Amino acid sequence: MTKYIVRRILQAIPLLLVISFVLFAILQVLPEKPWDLLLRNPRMTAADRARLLDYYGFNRPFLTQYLTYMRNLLHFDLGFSYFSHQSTVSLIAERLPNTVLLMGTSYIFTLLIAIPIGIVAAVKQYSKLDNFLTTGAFIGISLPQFWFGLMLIILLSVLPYQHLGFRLFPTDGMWDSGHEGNLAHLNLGDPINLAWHLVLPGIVLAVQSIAQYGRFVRSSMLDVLSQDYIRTARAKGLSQLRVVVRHGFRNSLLPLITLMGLDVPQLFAGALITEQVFTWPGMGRLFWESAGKGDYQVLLGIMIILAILVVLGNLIADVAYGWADPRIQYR
Amino acid sequence: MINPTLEQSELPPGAGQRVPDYDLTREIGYYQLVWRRLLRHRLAVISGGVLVLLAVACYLGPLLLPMRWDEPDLFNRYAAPSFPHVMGTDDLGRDLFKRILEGGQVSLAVGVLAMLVTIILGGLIGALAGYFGRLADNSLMRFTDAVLAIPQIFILILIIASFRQAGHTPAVIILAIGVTSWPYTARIIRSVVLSIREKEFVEAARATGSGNLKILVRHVLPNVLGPIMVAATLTIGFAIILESALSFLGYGLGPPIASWGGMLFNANAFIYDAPYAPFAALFPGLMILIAVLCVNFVGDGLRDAFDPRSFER
Repeated sequence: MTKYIVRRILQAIPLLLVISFVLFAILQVLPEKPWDLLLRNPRMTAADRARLLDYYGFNRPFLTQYLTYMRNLLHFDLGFSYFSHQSTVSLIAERLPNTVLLMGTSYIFTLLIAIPIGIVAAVKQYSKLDNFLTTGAFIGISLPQFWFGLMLIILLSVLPYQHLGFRLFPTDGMWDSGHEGNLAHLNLGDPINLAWHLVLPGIVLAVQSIAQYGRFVRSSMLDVLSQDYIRTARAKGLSQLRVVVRHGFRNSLLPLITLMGLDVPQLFAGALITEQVFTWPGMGRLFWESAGKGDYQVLLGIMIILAILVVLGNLIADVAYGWADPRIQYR
Repeated sequence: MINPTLEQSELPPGAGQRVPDYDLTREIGYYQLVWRRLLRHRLAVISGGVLVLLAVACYLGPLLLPMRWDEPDLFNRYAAPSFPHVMGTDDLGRDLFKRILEGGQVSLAVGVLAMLVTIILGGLIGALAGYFGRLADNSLMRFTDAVLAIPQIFILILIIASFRQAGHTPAVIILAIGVTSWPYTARIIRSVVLSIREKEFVEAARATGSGNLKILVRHVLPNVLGPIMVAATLTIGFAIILESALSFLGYGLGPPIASWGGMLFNANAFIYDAPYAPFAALFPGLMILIAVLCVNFVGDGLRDAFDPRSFER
């Protein structure tokens, strides 16, 4: 087991090297250069500019710059924002917990809703209900998240506000003023207020996953229900409920672990959009803000962190799958 | 964003129905067969019809409406849906219906053109990796893995943001979406080519002295056309959603051009302003949903039609 984990980590390193190299190369070929923000001061002379570029190492060969960046990365140094002069790592550390909380909420919503839906659809295969859920899944997958978010805001916040004078759910930020906390400092503020703010963004982020996972659970459940041991369980005279829950359900959930691992990049992408709709101060919003300023050190830093988290997510999913399913042998 | 492996129904097309009496003496071609199977997929046919209708409405409809799409009418802001403003007006009093039709041209065109870029890039990379194998396969697929590990919308924002001086022209948006979407296509094409490469007819072609290029074009390409068409259809859906997401984030085509996503970006700012302001957010998103839903249904029907055995996947 340990050997397997170590080997997987060793395999992940070249992948991360390729990713960082690709990202670094993309920054080089884009029309706006990473150092443009540094040179924006109109009173700079040409000599000043040259000195600045030299100081930050931008006039060195591409490969040297890349290797320097990677060496710094090993020391948890991702450079600093040329806009606010804060270190990229501290900027990300401030925002990442907010995004993780949002994604965690979305995972919970997804599992709570998608698993029952998938099981019901599988058990009642080809029924009216199954067809209805299938159509629903198609709509959920085609639904533009930001529009769904806007519609929820209009239905649960704007219309109640216009007609009743209050909002059912808050639509911006993580806390109302006076209840603030800071997740990066493990301060939840007013947890109930936070939970209240989490509902809408959590649902919006979850909606596509719910549709996907629901379909996935359905087909995986159908797979399991056609197995011999299910027939044996039925032949023993167990009730339908017992067969489905004890024998079918548990086995059909195993592949979900892999799906959850593979879903991480999509969830980060969805988080960026959701955070934008609900002005949630997460990493996606930090990325969006930094893109607006041309703050490329932060952009690069966020993408490197994202890549690490995505690769880590896959790794954890693989290991967890093996742990949950004793039939899997590690080699 | 969307899982392309979703299927509409686990039932094989036509299951449970009486087998029609085909004239078995007449020979039908492969594509005729595919076409027939596609026509039997009711949802796909209806969706295809809706898409055609949508495209016709977007390109011809504006000619029939008297008002201008970009002309503000400040005495008529946030009008309720009524005649002559069927969908109401937006924050500047511009007719929403006309703007939706005009915006549809942008959204649909970007979707189709970005799909072309994606399919060409993804098809080439996937075919090269699958056909040549070994080093080409390894290096190209590691590169593909690397691109897939970074959430697409992040790279897209990075690329488009850096064009702020050069301008967010349609070409930039289309190329950016295409250049970041190809890995999904490449993976599909690679796996298909990988299996075709081992087939006897490829071996026979090589034995009779055909070069790699000829084998790829004459023998491999016709056999991957099915998966390519399915991937292409689904990619249009992705691209429409991506373009509207980018526009919504402020990284789409600049004003006064407004795609459906751009209209949502605009509407987002003033939903609290007036009783009928939410309509400006409702309709454009509904159009995106309808377009993408139909594209996905057609893609699904195509998949079933090309490979009826793939229904359980």
